[in-house]
Amino acid sequence: MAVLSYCGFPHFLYVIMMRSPKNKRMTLIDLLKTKSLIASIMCIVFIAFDSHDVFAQEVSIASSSDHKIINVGVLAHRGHDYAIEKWHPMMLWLEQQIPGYYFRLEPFTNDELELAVKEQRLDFVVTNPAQSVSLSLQYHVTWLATLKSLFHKGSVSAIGSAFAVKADSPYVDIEELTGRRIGAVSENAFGGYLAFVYQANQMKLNVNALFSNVTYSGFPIDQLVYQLKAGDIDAAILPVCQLEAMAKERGIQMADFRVLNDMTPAGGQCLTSTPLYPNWSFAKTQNVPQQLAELVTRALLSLPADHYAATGINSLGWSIFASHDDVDLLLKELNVYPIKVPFIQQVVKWLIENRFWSSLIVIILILFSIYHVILEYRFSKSKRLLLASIKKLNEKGAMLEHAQRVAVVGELGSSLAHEINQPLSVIRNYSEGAMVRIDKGKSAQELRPILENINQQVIKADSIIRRLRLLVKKNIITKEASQLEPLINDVFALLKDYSISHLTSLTVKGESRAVYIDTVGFSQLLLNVIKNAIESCAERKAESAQIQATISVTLKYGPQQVEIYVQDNGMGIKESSEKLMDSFYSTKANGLGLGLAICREVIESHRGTFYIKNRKSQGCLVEILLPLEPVNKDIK
Amino acid sequence: MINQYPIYIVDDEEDVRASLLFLLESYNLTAQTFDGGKHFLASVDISQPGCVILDSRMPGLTGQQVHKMLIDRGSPLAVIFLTGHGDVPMAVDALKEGAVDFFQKPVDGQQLISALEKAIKWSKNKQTEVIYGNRVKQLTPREREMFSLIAKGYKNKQISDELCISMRTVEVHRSNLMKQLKVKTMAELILIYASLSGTLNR
Repeated sequence: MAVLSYCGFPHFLYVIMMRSPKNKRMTLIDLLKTKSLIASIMCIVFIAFDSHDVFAQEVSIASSSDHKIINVGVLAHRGHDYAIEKWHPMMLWLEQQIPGYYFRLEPFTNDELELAVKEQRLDFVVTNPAQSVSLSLQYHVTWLATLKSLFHKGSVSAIGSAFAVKADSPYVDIEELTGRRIGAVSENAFGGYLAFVYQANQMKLNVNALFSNVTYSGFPIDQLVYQLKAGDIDAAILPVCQLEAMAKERGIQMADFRVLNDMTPAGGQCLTSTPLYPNWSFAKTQNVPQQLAELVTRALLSLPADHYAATGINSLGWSIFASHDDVDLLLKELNVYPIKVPFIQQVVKWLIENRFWSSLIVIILILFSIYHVILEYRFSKSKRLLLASIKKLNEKGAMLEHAQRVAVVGELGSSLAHEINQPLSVIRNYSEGAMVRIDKGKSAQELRPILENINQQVIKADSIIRRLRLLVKKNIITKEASQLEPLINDVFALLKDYSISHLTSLTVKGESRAVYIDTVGFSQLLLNVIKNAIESCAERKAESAQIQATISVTLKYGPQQVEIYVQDNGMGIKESSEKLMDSFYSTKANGLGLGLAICREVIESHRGTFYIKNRKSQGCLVEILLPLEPVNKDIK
Repeated sequence: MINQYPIYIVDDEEDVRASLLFLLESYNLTAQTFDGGKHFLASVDISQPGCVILDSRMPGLTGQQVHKMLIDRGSPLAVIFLTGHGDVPMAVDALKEGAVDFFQKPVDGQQLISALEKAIKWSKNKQTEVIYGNRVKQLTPREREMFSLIAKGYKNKQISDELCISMRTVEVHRSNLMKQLKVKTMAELILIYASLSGTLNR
């Protein structure tokens, strides 16, 4: 390229300089000059690009527009440079045999080669039997030829594993290496691992134990031999002929090593511990047209055994593609088919290889588990304590409610005593009078009505006592459909003599119906509300004596609910509705503060609403709303 | 004897009224019943002696309020309180105000009757006081002076010297006094003075 540019450039200059505006009528000379001018320009452009490869490629095109570039991927199991050195002659042979093509060699590792095939960057592939099988299963590759091994008298079966140990080591049988440090090429390497594993399997050896301490050297494979020699590993799984090749090329001594489980066939030139499998093969991808494939195959097969392209790779040339079925079978058996190793196996492998980290992880996991167990225990203990506390709290709550009711009874005490006294004093008056009259000679018949009156009073007293009992007893909430009016009147009666004298009234709007309520709870609720109303009125009366205390209750029946309004003309409320309903909040000196809180509970258990606010005129209004029917029909 | 004087029962409970009436009638006493203070005060001549049995706790006018109104109007009626609860402070107040007695319900019949007798007597006395009190109020200042001097035992001569008036004048005043007080004897006069002595000097 440079030479041509040097030719072209001065020419170009000449043309420029020679070209004069005067000469306009040049014909042939002009044409010639133009052609070289173009050539010169092109050369300059190519220099400018500064890309060696582009240059190199373009040389091919420039040299002949027919030359096509063929990409050949090769497995470089002994290193990049080794592969180029060894396989380049083969490329030249092909170019020689098939003019018009440039066979470009690209060395790859196992994974790189597969990737290149996958991405369809290659036309031909040269690789070991294991990968041959793998590639043929996953991608459209067609195998054309198999190498004839130099070491095996031209046999195409030349792949296997040699299980090597140092000559001076004590090992005789494979089992002796159980747990010892074994080196292999890689877990996917055929000759450098898989073939031997399969063999061990076939020999019914405990493979898991045997290969529990395996390290992989990767490419180049030469490292393994050096590791073995240095004593870094106790045994190495080498591809067959690795030792022999290195003896020939690198000068290692065969005598330094021994191969266990010797299965070398008679006359075989390489030691092997396994049966031999087909050699490396040459394949075409789908990018290659049939005609070229034929030409390549013919070229390969016609390679003479003594050609340096063949001997350089320790072969006697190519033969037709040998069956890889036994390889296929092996791979299937070892379960390492093209499909990648399942994740869990990869994880286990990683864990074994990175023993430090994996044991650390395991220890951490164990510690976490212990911690978790401790937490669970403590949690369940806490839960138990919490439940016990909640239970106690509920009990205390019930006791407090009871205390509140008793306190209310206490507050009503004098009024109740007065109430009971009425029937008692009437009874006394009647009975004393009757006795006097009997002494005076009146007959029993005359006095009979008096006894009836006495009986009436006893009944009255009884009902008062009963009402009182209802207030005090601890009730289990039982709801039933009941009329509200009698309950309200009972509460009025209970409070008749309480505090100051007051007027009470009950108004009913709408059709009176039975309401599904807890009668005791409702009575308590109403008692608290009306008692508060009376006390509020008493406060007001203390300020302005002429006020007549009035407490009015209105019932408004709706289709679904009943609204109860309790109005008084007392002092009204100073606090907000919410604050008043708080437990233990009381504006009264001796108040427990539970009255309205209990009201709230009763309301809630009936799914009703309760609202308390000031009236426009002085006083307080309490609005209670109760559903007529049970909500969700829950019966507690 | 106490039948001559009216007995009134004031209580808001019908049963209580009926039973009390029954009790009283068993002892051959009669009474009038009222359901409240207002009704009672509107219907009765409270200037006449008698006895009122008042329930202390009533809607409308309480027993205490009725009692106070009686006192304010100078009624000679005796008051007996009945109450359903033992309210000692109230009892003390009531007695201070001039109630004759105070009972807790249920009341013992015998005790009530005795109390009624006492009350009537008291009421009679009270009426006398009221009458004489009115008469004394009509006295002129001079007559009043005479009244107190005579009651203290001053002879006419001493009185004329004391008041610097003639004996004749003393005799005239004395006669007027007796007429005004509607008494005939000295003994009566002195008695009146004695019973009103507390109130005279007001």
